[in-house]
Amino acid sequence: MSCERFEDQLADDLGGELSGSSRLEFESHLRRCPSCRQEAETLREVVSTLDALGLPDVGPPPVRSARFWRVARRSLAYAAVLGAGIIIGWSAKSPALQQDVAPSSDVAPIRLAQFGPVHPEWLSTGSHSEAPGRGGAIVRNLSTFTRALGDAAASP
Amino acid sequence: MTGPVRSDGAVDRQVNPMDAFESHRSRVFAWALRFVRNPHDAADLCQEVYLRWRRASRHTAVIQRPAAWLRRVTVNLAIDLVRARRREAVRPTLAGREGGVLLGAEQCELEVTIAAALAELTDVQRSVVVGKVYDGLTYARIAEELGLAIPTVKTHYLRAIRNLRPLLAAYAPENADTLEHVR
Repeated sequence: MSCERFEDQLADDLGGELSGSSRLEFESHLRRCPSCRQEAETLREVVSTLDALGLPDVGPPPVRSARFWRVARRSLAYAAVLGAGIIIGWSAKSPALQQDVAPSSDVAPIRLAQFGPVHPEWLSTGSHSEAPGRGGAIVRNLSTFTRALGDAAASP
Repeated sequence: MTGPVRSDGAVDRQVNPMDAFESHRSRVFAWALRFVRNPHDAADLCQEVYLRWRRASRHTAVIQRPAAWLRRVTVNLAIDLVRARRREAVRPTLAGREGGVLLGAEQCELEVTIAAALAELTDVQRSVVVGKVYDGLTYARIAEELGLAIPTVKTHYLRAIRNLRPLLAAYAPENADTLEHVR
């Protein structure tokens, strides 16, 4: 066997796919050629090092069923709806926004003022759901709705 | 009824991505676990791979080589995670494991070294190495999964092992004690 032929068979050797007469021929060449022997031994060590990273013994993989993914998707949707509700509620009670969208123009088809009057105490209240008017009601209803859906999703 | 995986191995986007993913889930978990060494991290990684799988299924008419796609994405994500852990110097998963803290530290060093070394390879080389060394696949099977010729796969493997040689020099025969400790 020549050194070029050795090169061809080296991948088979490293991959554990060299057998029969080819292996005998390969090993015979290694005994005769120090440089090829050195090369083969070094690369076998690399494979051996990689192989040392065995699988840890941890048992079967945790099962995440299709139901898990359904609930996860649903929860994300609830969070998005709740977030939108909070934004709507906040914008409804913001005096600055009311002033912005209540221009003196004749065309005012939608005005945030229709959600109700602005009360100064809203500015000090800690929760949007405590706010009176339609904005607060939206947030309250969304919270109730989300809780009910969450309960339904959690029930078997 | 048509199955999620077609007769040619490709996955059609018409089928539920979850069903298609399910047939590969245990392999994905094993790939992740081998690198991250922790079942919970591996499960999280599976979830991330699944989300990417879903996105890819939406945007690509057909995933031609699902096993190769999943192996590549999983191993890349796992390597990123291991290297990020290294940067943060946080290794909670190894603390208190069998063999004590010292063995855990050495094992962790080996994991990080191998992850860093594999990160230096090309995607194809990494896929071939993982398929050969960790999945125990034949060259023929790897060639089929990657859509390459068998001699090409062998060439990639040989190049990859040669590229890894200097990167794993710490575990060379003269440093064999290090490797014996972690086995």
